[in-house]
Parts: sequence; C-alpha cells; structure tokens
Amino acid sequence: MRVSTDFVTNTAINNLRRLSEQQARLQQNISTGRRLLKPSDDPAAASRVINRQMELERVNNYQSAAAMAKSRSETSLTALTQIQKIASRLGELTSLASSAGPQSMAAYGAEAGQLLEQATNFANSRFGADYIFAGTAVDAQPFTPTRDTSGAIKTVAYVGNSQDATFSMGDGRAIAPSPGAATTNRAIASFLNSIAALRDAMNTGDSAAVKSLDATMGTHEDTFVNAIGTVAAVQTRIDANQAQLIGRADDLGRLISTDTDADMATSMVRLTESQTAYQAALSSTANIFKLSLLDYLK
Amino acid sequence: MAGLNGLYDALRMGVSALKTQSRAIETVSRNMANVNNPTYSRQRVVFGNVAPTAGGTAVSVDALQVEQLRDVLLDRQVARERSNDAALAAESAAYDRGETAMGETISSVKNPSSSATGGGNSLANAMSGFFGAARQLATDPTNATQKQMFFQTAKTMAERFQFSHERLSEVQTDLTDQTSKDVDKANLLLSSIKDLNSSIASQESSTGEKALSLRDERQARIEDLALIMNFKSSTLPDRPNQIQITASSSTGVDTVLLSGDTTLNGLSFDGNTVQVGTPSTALNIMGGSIAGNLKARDGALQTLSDNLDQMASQMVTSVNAVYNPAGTAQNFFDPAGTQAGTITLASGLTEANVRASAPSGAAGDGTVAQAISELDTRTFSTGSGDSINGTLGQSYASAISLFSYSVSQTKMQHENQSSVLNAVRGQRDSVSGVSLDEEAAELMKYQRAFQASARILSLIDTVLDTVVSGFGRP
Repeated sequence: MRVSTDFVTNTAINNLRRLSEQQARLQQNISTGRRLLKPSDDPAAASRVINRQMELERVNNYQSAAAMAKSRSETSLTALTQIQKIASRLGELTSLASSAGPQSMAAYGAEAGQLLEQATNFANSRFGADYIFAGTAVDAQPFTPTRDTSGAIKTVAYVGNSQDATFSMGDGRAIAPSPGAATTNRAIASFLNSIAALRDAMNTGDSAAVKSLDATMGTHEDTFVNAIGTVAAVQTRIDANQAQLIGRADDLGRLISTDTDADMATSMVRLTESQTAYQAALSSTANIFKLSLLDYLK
Repeated sequence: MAGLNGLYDALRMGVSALKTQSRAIETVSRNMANVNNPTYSRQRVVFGNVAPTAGGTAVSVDALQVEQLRDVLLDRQVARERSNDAALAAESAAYDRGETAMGETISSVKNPSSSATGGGNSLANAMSGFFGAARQLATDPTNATQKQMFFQTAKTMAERFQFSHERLSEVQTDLTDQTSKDVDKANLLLSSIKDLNSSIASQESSTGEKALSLRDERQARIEDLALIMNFKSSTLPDRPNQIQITASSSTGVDTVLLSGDTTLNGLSFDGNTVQVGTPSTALNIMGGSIAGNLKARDGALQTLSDNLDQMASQMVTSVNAVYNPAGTAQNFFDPAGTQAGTITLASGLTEANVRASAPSGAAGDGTVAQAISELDTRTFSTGSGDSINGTLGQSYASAISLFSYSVSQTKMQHENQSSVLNAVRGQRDSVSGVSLDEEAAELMKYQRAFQASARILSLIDTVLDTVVSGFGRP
C-alpha cells in the first residue's frame, strides 16, 4: 500500500491521542481509586450501585431507628424495673401490715403513699420529650392523678391511648420498644389505683381490706415482671436486628466497592503498559519523520 | 545542410524537454506545498509525444496535461463514512451533555447517610434523602427538626426532579437549535457547490484543461456537507464535470437537492423533520450531525425525560394517596403537577403543618410518615395501573442505566466508526495523498532530466558556435 506523508502524520497523531486518553483515564482511576466515575463507564454496574446505595441509605436509617428503639426500650425497662420493685415492696408491706397494729399500719400507709408518688413519677417517665407509657399520645402526661385537699393522690386516670409506637427495623419489619400500651399502660394505672386503695386501708387500719389487696399486689408484680421480660426480649430482637443490619451494611459496602473501586495493581500495570506504548509511539514517530529523501536533495 | 536541420530539431526537442520538466517540477512543488492539505489530491504531469516538425524526424516530449489522482468511488466512500462518523459524534456529544445534565455521578461512598438530607447532587440522593427523612420522622414524630427535615427533603426532591427535567429540556432545545443552524449551513454548502459546478464548467470550457483546484474545493465542500447530512452524489450523464446531489425522502424516493449549476432546492427545518423544496418533501436523514442530534433528542434523551415524568407521576400519586387517602385533607404534592417539570409541594403545606400521621392522629403517631417511607420499597406495576414497574429506586436506576447504555454504546460505535473512517481515508490517501519522499524522488528524476536537456542544449550551442564561428575565418 502506498503511504502518504499526511497519512503517516494522522496515524501517529491518532495513536498518540488514543494512548494519551488511555493514560489520562488510568491516571484518573489510580488517583481517585475509582473505576466508575459516571454511569456510562459501566451502565450495568451503575444500576447496581445506585440500587445498593439506596438500600444502604435505608439500612443506615434502620440502624438509626434501631439505636433509638434500643434507647427507648432501655428507658421503658428502667421505669418498669423501678415500678416492679415498688410492687415488690408493696407486697412486703401488705404482708407486714396484715398482722400489724394500727400504729405500725399507719407507718406502712405513709410509706405506701410515698411509693404511690414514686410509682406515678415512673409511670410518667419520658424519653426526650415523649411520655413512654402513653401509647402514641406522647405529648401529654398519661397518668393524671387526682389529689385530695392534703395533696395526696386519690385516684390516677390513664389518658394515653392504646396504640403502640413502632419503629421500622428493616424492610417490612417493625418493633414496638415499649410494652403493649393496651395492656401494660392500663395495668400501671390499675396498679397506681391499687396502691392508693392499699394506702387508704393502711391509714384507716382496715386489716381486711389490706389482706384483700395482697393478692392484687402479687398479680400486679407478675404483670410487671412479664412486661420486663417482654421489653428484654424486644431488646434482644433489636440487638439481633442491629447485628444483621451491620452485616448487611458491610455486604453492601463491599458490593459497592467491587463495582466502583479501581483494582490498583491492574491499573498500575496497565498504566505502565500504556506509558511504554506511548514512548514507543513517540520514538517511532520521531524516527520516521527524521528520515526523509529531501535531506539528500542537492 | 541536412545535418544542421538535425541540430535544430535537437534544439527544439531540448527546449520542449526543458519546458516539460519545468512543468513537472512545478507540479511536484505544488504537491509538496499541499502535503498537509487534507482536501488536496496529488497531481501528476502526463507526458506525451509531440509530432515532428515538417521534414523533421525528431519526436519531442511534452506535458500533455496535469492529471489529478483521485478515485471517485473512494471519495464517495469517504463522504459516506464522514457522514456516519459525524452522526455518531453528534449523538455521542449530545448524550455526554445529557449525562452531565443529570448530574448522576457514581460515588464509592460506602456510607451515603450524609445524603440523607437530600443534599446530594443526583435525583437518587434526593429520593433517598426524602424517604430517609420520612423514616426518621416515623421513629420520632414529635421532633420538630425531623418534620423540618422531612419537609425540606421533599422540597429538595421536587426541585431536583424539576432541575433534571429543565436540564434535559435545555439539551434538547439546544439540539433543535443546532439542527436549524446545520440546515442553514447545509444550504450555504449546497449553494457553494452549485457555484463551484458553474465555475468548473466555465473554466474547463475556456481552458480545455481540468479545473483541478476548483474540483478539489468542490470535493471539500461535499465532504463538509457530509458532516451535516447524508446524501448521494453523482456526475450528470450529459455533463461529467457537474455534480448532482440527492437525498432520500421519508418515503424512500431520491429527491434532488442540487443538480449541476441549474437546480438548487433549499432545505428547511420545522423543528421535527428536515424538508426540501416547494411543496416540501420530508427527508429521511440518516447521517451527519442532523441525524445524530435528532436521534439523540428524540431517542435516549426523550426516553429518559419520559421515565422521569413517570417516576414523578408515581411519586405524586403514591405519596398523596398515603398522606391524604380520602382526598379531603391537605395533599402533600400538588396533584396537578404529575410530571418531572411540574412536580411541586401542595399549596398550603408548610414545615409547621406537615404531619407524620393522619389529621386526627396522636402526637406520637408516625404511621403516615412510616407509610410514605415504605413507598421506597413498594413494587409498582403498570399492569395494575401504576406509572412505573418495580420500585421507585429500581425505576430510576433502570432509567439511568438505559440512558448510560446508550451513552456508552454510542461512544463505542463512534470509536469504531472513527477507525473505519481512518481506514477509508488511508485507502484514499494511498491514491490521492502526497508522499514527500515520493515527490522528492520525482523531483530528483525531473531535475536530472532537466539537467540532461540543459546539457544537450549547451552541447548543441557549442556545436553551432563551432559552425558559426568557423565561417569567415581565413
């Protein structure tokens, strides 16, 4: 084939341009550590990366929700444990008061009154600004006491609702970090009113009434022990879920990395190859242009 | 005196040879001067015999003509391949602009939670941010900051939809404008080719020689036209130095754009198709920048725009159905804005009144926010009356992937086509291109021939001098 001077020049320029582009691309891969910079670099991988990053975003949200649910359940657990301790102490007081004289019974009544105040405070525990035993009506104090002229609690009304606040812990998975509002919250209200009745019976020295409340106190304590067990089980679920979410986040990160990150060793070898080819192209082009028959014209 | 006649014949031959070699050296010089001119086709002097003068016997050499080494078939092939190359180059450039306009960069960030605020550049980040904010509001419905975030991310997402739509529309409008300019340029080139047809005819009839420079210039204009559109060029049967240019109509009929130096039918563009003549005939342009720009505008860019519209429609419909199921309360998105360019938050929705629950819901009720966040993973189906198939995220990833596939495929096709064009150019250059070494060899050849002729003239001069000087001597 006959070769024109312009063809030689154009071919050399095209080859140098192509090798230059290749080097720039590899240099960019190495300096950024990334194989994919825009979707058209690998459309199929780009689609996978977008989907996985969106899933990773969801997993991060679920992790935040899990952490918040855990904190909230710990607050519930602390409050329930305290209420259960109060129920336990009231069980002891009931036993002691059953066989005590009027003076001792009055002293037990005074302690029961204090325990009622304390239990009401625990029942109205808050997580941040939210009342934790209010169902979803978290913006109002759920256990509202009615007091007599001396300031003592006469009755306690539950003004929360029976709807459980749930936290999304994964696609299609939700968890309620507090014990069921419909059962536990109303049991707490019942317990508070039972304490008020027990206190009144002790204050009036009504041994029969005190004895009749002994079984009730035992039932309340059992309820709270069960609620504590439920919350503890919820915490275990949250822990398991968190571990799963961490694992999934790691998997997604690794998969994203596989699609987006440059293989440094391969990129470096290719860059070296490309540089060698570039040097060879420069050298051969210079040599070709250096020799010309024109140099021999006299 | 017969011997002296021979000397005079030799003298005439020498002079003729000097003139011929001079013409050849001049041609070589012209070739060398145009070594880097891509539109130039190398020339050669055609040597021939000059009949002997009356009574003489010597046959002298003459430059019969200067011929242009041009292969018409290769010229046409180069024009065709340039047209194909230009179409792919224009389409590829348009897609690059579309990809940049979408702003979808691939991040290797393993923990994109920073984009949960919707602050990322892409629509994917904005959608993730919106659903993430809904999820966080669902877990903490009484938190005023979460409500603000939810509202702001929704606003950001709507703006990002609008922004993507506007940027794509701008690219499409630019392509329409570019096509109008290309059509104007094509008209100028056709007019220029017609003028060159006229000039070639005029010059060749007056000089009797081929108008080589004008033919080169006409071929250059034809190849410039090939960058804009595809066409067929042929010589007129009755006037072989005249070119006719036709293009295929939308019904597959060859339509004359230009014929010799007489007929010129102007092109026009109505925003959708390129037309020719009056009454207008729509052309089916498959090559050149016009084809590339229109294919990109009405093809992958429009598909991407349509996909964004469908996603926006699904987003508005689904979120409103969750936020205002009965249709009697405040909507979340304006139900009238169901396209990417028109999606906007409903009038009256504010940071203060955006809610995580139904209007009658308790303060800690995050069921509506939760339901909105679950739209992120809900699978839609056009078979069930939805606007999209799959989840919103999958739909977006699929739209981007489909568009990116067009970007990368067109780029690859363009690279392949460039190789084809270079190969065809190489073939043409092997016929028409100037080789300096070859010209240098030719130059040496003609130089030697010139020197030999000059030496003969000198010799004859010496002989004649001997003869002339010998007269009258004692």
